[in-house]
Amino acid sequence: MNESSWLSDREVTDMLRRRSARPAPDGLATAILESLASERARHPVRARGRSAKRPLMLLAAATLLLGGGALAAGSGALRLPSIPPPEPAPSLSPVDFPNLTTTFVSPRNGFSIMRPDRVAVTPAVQLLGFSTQVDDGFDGVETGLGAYFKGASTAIPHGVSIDGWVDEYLADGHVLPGGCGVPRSQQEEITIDGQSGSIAECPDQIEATVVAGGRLYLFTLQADRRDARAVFDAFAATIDLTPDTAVDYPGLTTTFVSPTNGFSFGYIDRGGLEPARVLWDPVTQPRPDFSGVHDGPFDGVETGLGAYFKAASVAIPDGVSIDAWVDEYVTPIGCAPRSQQAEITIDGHSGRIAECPNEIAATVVASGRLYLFMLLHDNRPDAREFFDTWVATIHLTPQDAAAPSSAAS
Amino acid sequence: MDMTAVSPKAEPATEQPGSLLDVESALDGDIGAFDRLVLTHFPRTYRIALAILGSEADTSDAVQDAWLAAWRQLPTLRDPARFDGWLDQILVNACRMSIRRRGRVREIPMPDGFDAEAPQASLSQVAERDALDRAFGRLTVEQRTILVLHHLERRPLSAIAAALVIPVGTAKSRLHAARAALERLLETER
Repeated sequence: MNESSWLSDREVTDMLRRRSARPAPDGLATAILESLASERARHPVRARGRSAKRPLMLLAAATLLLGGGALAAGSGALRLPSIPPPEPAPSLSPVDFPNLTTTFVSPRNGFSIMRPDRVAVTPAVQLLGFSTQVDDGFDGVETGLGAYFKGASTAIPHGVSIDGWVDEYLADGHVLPGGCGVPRSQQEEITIDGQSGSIAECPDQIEATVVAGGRLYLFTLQADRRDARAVFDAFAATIDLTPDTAVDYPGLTTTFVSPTNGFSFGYIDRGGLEPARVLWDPVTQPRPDFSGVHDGPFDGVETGLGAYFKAASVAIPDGVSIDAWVDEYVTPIGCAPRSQQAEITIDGHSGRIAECPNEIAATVVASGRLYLFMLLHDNRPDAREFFDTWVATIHLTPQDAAAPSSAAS
Repeated sequence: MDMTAVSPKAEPATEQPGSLLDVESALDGDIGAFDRLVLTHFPRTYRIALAILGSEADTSDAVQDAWLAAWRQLPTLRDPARFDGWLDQILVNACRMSIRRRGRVREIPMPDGFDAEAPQASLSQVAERDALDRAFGRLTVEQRTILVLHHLERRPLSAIAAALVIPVGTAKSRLHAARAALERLLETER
């Protein structure tokens, strides 16, 4: 820039100084420090060179408490000396129940547990409380012996009082209808995988809650057995809490078929679906961005979970170099050139993927069409996993894409 | 137009006394050191975000989000000497997300006391400044960001490129494009 331009550098600088001259609100810096303190209370300090990940070998330690200790031999030597072993509950005496000999690892909820052989297991398929079918959020073990064990977990919001929040969370009917309803502060204490929690017993049901890694874990046993508590304790003693492995994005269980773009994909139906209003023409329309102002050509899904999916497709002009054309008109600002991007496969077609600040963008070509799939996210640490889960649901049907002459207005 | 020939006097971001030590200490888990970094760099982060976003409410949210993200992402900072640029990158992302959440580009109100800052300004001068501010508010967040880092913060192109995660050549061309867009929008605002 130079001073000979009719808009001088000084004018721009002065304008920016005027815009930024207002002082910060009183107390904002203090509020930030308080937010940081709250964050640290939830997530301990992660210093350079130290691993924050908890060893997984607690599972082996927990197996020592199995009825009969069938799997315990030799595993005790692996236990870290700094981690106290779970204390057996007073009622953990041998019960008339099969040994828990097989490990079940929850695909979504961040725990593993031992279960009897040859029983029915139903893994969770959705975030807890996000489905009309309550049990979709739970991993369930149907023993067929008058005892049904369920487990689930969810991230705890910032800055809440645990007991009060848990009581409110469980009382809304979307998570645990027909629960015991005992205020958490009045419940008996229980220890699960070394974490102190609370347990309530009511007719035919036992429910326990425990907090680990910023997550609330909920375990229940519906049992028509006199030794229900002993059965629950036997299951609970085998639980290994692994909050780092929990999934905090929803299952994409509803299918959207694009009326214009020639693809279908899975999404979670929470009212956030926004089909494209016009056909995509990257040459004449603004480059895809964060603003949300130019999303007309995109089929989009606002998840309400700090993540927005959008996708579109367009016929590729004859004779162009794909990478150069995509970089000129499509590649979002801040993303690497397409030729330098990693490879990805979408519905059997090889494409490219760029992980850029707060967004992931993948492009793939099928039958002469360029497809763009994007995830805009709010600093989600699991953005790539969430994106890959979405990609796994995508089916490309270029033959169904609308031609420009039949564009929706 | 050669944008580098007569560019503003480059004042590369330099660590303030003790700041580098605090970055090192924070990386080693010293909470107090990170809090000192917050207090040291807070005015700069607020100034940059306010210039980009214009709205005090959005700015407060973005700055708070940026510092929380900085804490969470601190283990990813490999070179303590690059803390300023690393923090700029996080702050710019927070500003972009603020725009995204807003869903549309909001009209930017003129700051209180705008006229009082230039008591001798004529009505035409005030109108011209008003038009320039409105034109700036119509730029994309990326364009605003690059102009703020260049004209307000006097960052060298290499630092701007690092903050925006783009090559230096791209930063140069985008700075040029942002300036051209501002001039075009100013023409329509007059």
